[in-house]
Amino acid sequence: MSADPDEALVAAVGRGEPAAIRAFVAAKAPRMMALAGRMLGDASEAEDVTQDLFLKVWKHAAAWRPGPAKFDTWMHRVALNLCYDRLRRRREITTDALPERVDDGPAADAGLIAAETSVQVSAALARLPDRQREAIVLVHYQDMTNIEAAALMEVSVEALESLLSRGRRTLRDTLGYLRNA
Amino acid sequence: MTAERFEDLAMAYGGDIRRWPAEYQTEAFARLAANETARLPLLEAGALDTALNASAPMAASGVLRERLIASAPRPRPVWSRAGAWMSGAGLAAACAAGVFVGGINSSRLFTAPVTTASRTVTAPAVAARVAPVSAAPVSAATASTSDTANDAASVYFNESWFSGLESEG
Repeated sequence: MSADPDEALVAAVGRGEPAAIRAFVAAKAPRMMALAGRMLGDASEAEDVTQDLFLKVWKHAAAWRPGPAKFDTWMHRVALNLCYDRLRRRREITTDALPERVDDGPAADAGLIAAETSVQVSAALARLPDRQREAIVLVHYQDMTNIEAAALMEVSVEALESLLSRGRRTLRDTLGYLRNA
Repeated sequence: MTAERFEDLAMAYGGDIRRWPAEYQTEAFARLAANETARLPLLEAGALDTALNASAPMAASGVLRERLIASAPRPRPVWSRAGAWMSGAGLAAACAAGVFVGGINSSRLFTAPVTTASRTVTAPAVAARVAPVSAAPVSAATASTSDTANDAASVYFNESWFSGLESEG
């Protein structure tokens, strides 16, 4: 079992030390906001999830004891649960909530092309089945190892690999034109 | 490592072997060194990586960060906890003194034979006499447990933190 790099910081957060709280927010808020943003594709909802997540962190930090799971992994699990709650609610309301693919019109400059690519990739990610998207977000964007991601998703490493392959293959087919641009 | 396995790993983990699971890296680099065509699946997976990396993450704004910091509970400072203890003890002492003084004074208040009814009627007067004695400790206790401080303290000392972390969601 590897040591949890966040252990000392989480303990200080649990004691309510203002400097530790600031350091913790600086370290974790961007990472958690990115996770929620990629899972939900909506900045406002991602902010809500991040806030809900941090309320749970403040509540549990003092009781955290290092164990098999790192605190960062626990945060990912809670954040993903919050995301899935919202995705479920979204599906109940409408089945047409996914962002539309942007028009493939001519771009004016490199900045616009980059921005357009970013939007297209986000839209393609949003169209993936949730579990495939989750696997790609955890491994590609959140830099988790296959073992960490599989444990977090409660699947075998082989199943994770399958989710990654299927998701990436779909993305490759969807975004294939990018390679020829 | 077979060519098929190499391609599967590239498809799953991307075009950079250094980002593959550690247990496959040595074999993968060896295969790449021995076989130039092994580069093709890496190039294809790398193109997808590049596209994925073009998607900028949603940023945590300064406003959000400040909101998160503001939502964190603060520990009650030592002087506040001592003050609360002192004010509690002071309140108890004042009450005890009030009852004692009130008991003495009430016997002086009534020259007529004291009945149960007259005690009931004069109770506010007794309380009024006691009030100045206990006023200071009561207000101190109130100040040290304002809404914000109380909320923070109740969260900070909540014993339920010590169980059930793993299933939180």
